[in-house]
Amino acid sequence: MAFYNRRQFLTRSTLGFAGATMGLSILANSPARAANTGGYKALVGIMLKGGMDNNDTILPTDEPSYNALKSLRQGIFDSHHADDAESSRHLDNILPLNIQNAARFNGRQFGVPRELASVQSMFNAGELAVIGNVGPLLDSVDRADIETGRALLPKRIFSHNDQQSTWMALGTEGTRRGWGGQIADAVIRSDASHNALYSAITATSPDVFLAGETAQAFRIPGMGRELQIDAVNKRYHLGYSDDADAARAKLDSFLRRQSFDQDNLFRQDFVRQSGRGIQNQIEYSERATRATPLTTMFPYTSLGGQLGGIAQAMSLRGELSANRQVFYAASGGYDTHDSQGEDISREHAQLGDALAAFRAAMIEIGEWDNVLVFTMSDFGRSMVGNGDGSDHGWGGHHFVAGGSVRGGHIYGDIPEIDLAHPQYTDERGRLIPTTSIEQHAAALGAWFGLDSSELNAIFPNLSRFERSALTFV
Amino acid sequence: MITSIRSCAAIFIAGVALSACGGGDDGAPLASAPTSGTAPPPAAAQAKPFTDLATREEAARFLIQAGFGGTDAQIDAMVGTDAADWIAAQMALPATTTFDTMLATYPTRDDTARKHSSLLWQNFLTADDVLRQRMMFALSQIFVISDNSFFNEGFTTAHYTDILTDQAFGNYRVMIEDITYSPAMGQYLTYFRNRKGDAETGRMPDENYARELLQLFSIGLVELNMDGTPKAGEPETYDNEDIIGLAKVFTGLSGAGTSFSYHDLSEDWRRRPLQMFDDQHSPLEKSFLGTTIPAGTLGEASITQALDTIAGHDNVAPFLSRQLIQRFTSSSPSPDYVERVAQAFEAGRFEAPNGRAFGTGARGDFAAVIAAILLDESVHDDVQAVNEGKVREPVLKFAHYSRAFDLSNINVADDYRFNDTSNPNDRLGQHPLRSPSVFNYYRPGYVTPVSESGRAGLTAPEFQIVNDGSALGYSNFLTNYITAPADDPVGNPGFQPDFTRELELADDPQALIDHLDIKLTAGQLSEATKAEMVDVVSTLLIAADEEQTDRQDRVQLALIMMMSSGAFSVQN
Repeated sequence: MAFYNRRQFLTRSTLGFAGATMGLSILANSPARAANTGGYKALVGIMLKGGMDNNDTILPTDEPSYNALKSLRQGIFDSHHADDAESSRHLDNILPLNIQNAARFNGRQFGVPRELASVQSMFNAGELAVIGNVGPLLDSVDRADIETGRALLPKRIFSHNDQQSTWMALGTEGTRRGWGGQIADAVIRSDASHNALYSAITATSPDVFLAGETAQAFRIPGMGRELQIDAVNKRYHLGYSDDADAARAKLDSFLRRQSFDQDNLFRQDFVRQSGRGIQNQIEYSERATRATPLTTMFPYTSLGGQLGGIAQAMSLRGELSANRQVFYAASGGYDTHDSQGEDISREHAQLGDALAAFRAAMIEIGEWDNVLVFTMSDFGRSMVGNGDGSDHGWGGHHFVAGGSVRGGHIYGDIPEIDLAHPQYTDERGRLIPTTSIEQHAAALGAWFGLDSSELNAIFPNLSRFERSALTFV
Repeated sequence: MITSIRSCAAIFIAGVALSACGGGDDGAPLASAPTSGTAPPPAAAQAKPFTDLATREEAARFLIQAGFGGTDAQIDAMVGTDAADWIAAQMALPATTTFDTMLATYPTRDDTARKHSSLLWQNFLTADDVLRQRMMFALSQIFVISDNSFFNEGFTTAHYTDILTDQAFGNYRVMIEDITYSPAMGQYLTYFRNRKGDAETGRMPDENYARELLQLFSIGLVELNMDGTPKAGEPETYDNEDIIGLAKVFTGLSGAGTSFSYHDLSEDWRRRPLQMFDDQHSPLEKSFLGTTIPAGTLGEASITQALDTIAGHDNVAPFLSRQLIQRFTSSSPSPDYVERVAQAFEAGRFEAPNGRAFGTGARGDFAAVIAAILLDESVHDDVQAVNEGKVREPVLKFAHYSRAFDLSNINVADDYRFNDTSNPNDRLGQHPLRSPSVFNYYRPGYVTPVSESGRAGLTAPEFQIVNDGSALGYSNFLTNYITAPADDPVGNPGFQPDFTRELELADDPQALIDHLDIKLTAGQLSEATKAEMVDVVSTLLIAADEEQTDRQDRVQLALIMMMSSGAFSVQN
């Protein structure tokens, strides 16, 4: 089997689209200037926690590749009951992707499981792109580089927490700034009228992705909830008299206070976070409950609720004075060391259904062209199975969706199913990434309006790669 | 001393007497009284050691650090005693476990969904052996399983947490072996029925436990100095080849039964140690961490050798010591403090300033480790450094409320909110044994973005769940328990607080606030904060015709402020 030299490959994979790329021209030509913040744009990152199995997400649909994969992970195919005529992993049932740049895969074809039907339809409609084999890299490397010790490698490659942090913040656990937050910082610096509070919004835990120098994650409460301080607003707690009302007013300001008169750093942080959280959540909730509700229904799942909350927040974009917003959602359950057939199918269904609803909501508010939704995950997983599951890997495949995406293409690479291929680490078939997170994220940032100096400041290793940005948008 | 008739009654859960109260010395002493050989010289004996709890503030502070806080009577009883003596007395108490209670309470496994973690909550709120319960909770946040993965398997999770309870003052090497053979961990980290590799199909052993055992349960990712700081250049402790080698060790384990097959498991395998079936254990050579287990070594012998190698690694003492300190006394402990505790781990023995000795002398003795943590000079000095203190996790804050006001009629299993306290929007954002992953609710290395502690380079794990997004839910959850049972004992009979002393002080807001300040923050509220609280409480008038209701409202108002204060939320 012939392999591209990886450097040739990196060049080839982007040249096909270079002529039409705004992202590249911004990076190459624009003088140092502040971020372009005209119009409305939003980035929506979805962290798939646990490490989504790339090999069980983008499935080969040409028979030789399908059979090759099946032979390396028979137990996983068995856990999907792949030989049953109804199985989502039966070759006849895999949903095919109509790949516009199919030629470069030499006859190899790809599809997605039926739980990701919305991904298939967006891909085939040109609204969704697959970014193949993306992951943390400090330089282009292959197995020989690693085995000879000459490769510069990211730290703690197979560790969940460290790789979640690396995907979101380009550093291991304890890193304090994520690239989502730093992109928001650039907008805040460039546009004085921008409301910093609502520039970085999480629908789940305040993970490092949205942490910037100025930007910090604002956590939206669940959809449609009207929030209040019970001790203040439920008058039966402290009585109905005038003095009780006066005491409640004082209690209210005590609970919302963000300054503290002691020197202890943890206590200062606690009081600031507690007061700010109560103040901001109630203020947001008052706006959200006054607004016209979306008619789009979201699935009753964790991720469905989170993307529903994000869509609701976006529908308030004018009132919140934020025309550039970075959002964050997360979904767990992808660490499929066993029972993979059941577990990944459940998670894929949750993802696929939530994405379908989110697309509908964006069309409803007229912003589908101005939104990029993208996935992240700890890592991909081993191609060789361990029975009915797979183990930690490195590179993985990801989605970027939105009305302005040059979809229907596979960007980056999806290496052949052959353990001898130089982009697998060892006998378990873990992918060595061919596209770095920084290339991937810089393309998102360029679309968002950041200029090349801003992007190079956030992504310090961009210059190590021949092409510093992908061309999916 | 905390022993009392009331708290002893708490172990009569669901009407089942678990053990007699008192006594319970069923083995080698965990701690020994000062002897002529270890006592300080007579001249030094004149001055009390720094672990003497001379004031109510010091006693209250120690109860917050080592237990779940206490009532006025418990605080008063500790004044003038030595903290080491309290620890020794706690270690001598019978362990409040969960497995037998679960068996006696629930007829079948299907009835146990979510009930075991309720029982853990119950024990945190009521059990007598508070230090052991704190240690079990701490260990459960390091050696993590989550009952999210065990919906109908309360017996399995009870079997697991009883290992932690039994070894709370036991030994790390013993505990990690018990954990390795537990059906809970076997299922949670997926090595239950993990088969040897198969050259024909290419199947390889599951790497999950091999990796997390090293990363989370023993040595961590980076070589450490004894003080817990990374060695120069941050050399990594293992690479992927080590994981592939170690993964072969954890093959061949299935439930207790007559064969590896699911069909041959005994009916009660979920509550018994896993069993090795050598026909499914990898016969290959297993190399990791510089050790090689020869080809052909059987399963149990392979596990023994592997655990000896791992537990014997130099990283274990600083790696675990730092995390245990974080669970008790300091969110970002100084390297010197970590090193002192790690030395106790290595020596298996710790001598308190008053001469009392803890631990058996075997490396990895948790009695020595916990004594070293709680009796450290930095914990008992009067210095209030800006970078000291521990952000308290929400479970500890609620337990403190429960203990401080001697809540009665607590039946956690009957309170729907306590079935799941993990939602940050309207509950506590944390539930015992229900972490979202094996990485617990928060990470020991977490540094808070855009914060003063972060700018100072301090770790603050608990801020991962105690933050902007959970503040309102926490306040509202507390408000409900502070107000509803007291206002309507008939309609809300559970969680009844005893506000007797507070109601006596309610006519004098300054006295009320001073009193609560000691009980809940060890007297650490600032004068300005206290003055504000006094003003707010004074604003509520005591009306002649509704004196008791108004007094109660004042107490409740004071508590709502107190429990959202910086001094309550961050112990120091």
